[in-house]
Amino acid sequence: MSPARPSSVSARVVLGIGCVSIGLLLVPRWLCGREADRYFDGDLETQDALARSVARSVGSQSGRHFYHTKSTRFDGQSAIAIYQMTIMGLAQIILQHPERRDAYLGAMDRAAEHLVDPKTLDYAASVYGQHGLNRLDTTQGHAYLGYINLALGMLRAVDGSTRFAALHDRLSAALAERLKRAPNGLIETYPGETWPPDVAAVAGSVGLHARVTGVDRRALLDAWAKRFAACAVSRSGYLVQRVRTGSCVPADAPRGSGTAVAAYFIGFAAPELAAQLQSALRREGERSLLGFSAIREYAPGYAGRGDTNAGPVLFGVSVGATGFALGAARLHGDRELYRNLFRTLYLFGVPADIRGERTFAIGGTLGNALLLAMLTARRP
Amino acid sequence: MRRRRAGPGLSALTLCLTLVVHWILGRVLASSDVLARVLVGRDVLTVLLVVATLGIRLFLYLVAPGWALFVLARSSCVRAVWARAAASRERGQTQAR
Repeated sequence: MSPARPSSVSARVVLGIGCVSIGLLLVPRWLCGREADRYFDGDLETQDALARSVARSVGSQSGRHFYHTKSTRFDGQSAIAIYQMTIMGLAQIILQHPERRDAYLGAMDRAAEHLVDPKTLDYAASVYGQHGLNRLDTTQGHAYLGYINLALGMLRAVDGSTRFAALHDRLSAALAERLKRAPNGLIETYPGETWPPDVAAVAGSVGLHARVTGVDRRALLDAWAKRFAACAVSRSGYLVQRVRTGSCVPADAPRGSGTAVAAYFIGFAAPELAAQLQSALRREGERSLLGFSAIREYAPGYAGRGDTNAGPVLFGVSVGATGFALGAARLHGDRELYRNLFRTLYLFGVPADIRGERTFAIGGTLGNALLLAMLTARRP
Repeated sequence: MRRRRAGPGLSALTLCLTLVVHWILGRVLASSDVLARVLVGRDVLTVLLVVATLGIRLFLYLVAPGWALFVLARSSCVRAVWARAAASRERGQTQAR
């Protein structure tokens, strides 16, 4: 006699749906979120594994540029971003774990040397006639200098006697003056191009300089924040990505990537405005499923295909906005958003641990440097 | 009967193989700058590797846990039903004697 059939088709289907549901609801969020709190709480071992990988990758670069595409603008800007974010990430770890100072300082100094070399962003010289570092007394915008100055500020926060201190003082004073004179709180990045997220970097760098040197620029930055918010922050709370030079007329939509990176940068200069941007990301931008979150690139009512700032846009959310929002979330102590975003990063970033170093395999040098700064974001 | 016994083993083997392939692909991608290869070299192979790795990760992290749970639960049910059937058969034989 053969035993009764152990389960009917319908019982198997019910069992299958139940198991898959339990598996989907509980396991992926746990598997992908295990490290989130360790990064958020500043666990040294966790942060250090990524830091060593980024420092080695940047240090082993022979030339100034990491990418050699046909666009000198992209090649220069990506190099600036890599050096800047490497310095910021390493400095942020040192601020939390001063015992790592000696291990990172050499790599930071080398990155700063490339950062202040006008040849790294020769695109700026090609459109302006000369790089902004070669002529600080100009009335032109050169807002890309904000990225360089932010990194110098972070370097100085952990190394008061850095050889770049005098340049940092001069550059901060020049940029502060340009912000003061800007009627709408906006200055150009390149001739005819005004990008509010770049201006956020400029303001953040001036605020960071004030924090690390004690120079009082509170009044200037408060007044700037009001003009900037009135001109470039949309009704949704998202920051307009680009405006027509000399006006507040949007030349692009309010975008998540710009809003998120600005929430991080402005956190060094005008914490209240930064908190407003961060809350807009949470309110209007966060898209969540099964404990995994991502940030929508375009504010409600807008659509588009993104650009190099946003990275790929899929189902309305972008890689750039999601990555930068990690930094904004940590800077503003938003653990829940950080955790949810981290799960997405873990799932799609393909983390690989090789010889004690952590690399997000999908990110390349640029992505890993950005992630180092965002995952460890903090104020001095 | 044989096929039922092979079920969980085959599932476990599939999962292990997928894990190994995933581990290898992760290392291959991490060994070079993916962005450089895609942006500069327009490297189709790298794009395919990225797509394959992401597909495998989606399977491993989203589908595999539920699937493994289903295979375990089903094999436990089968074992329980078979044990009950064997016990009742034994009882029947004892009573017949």
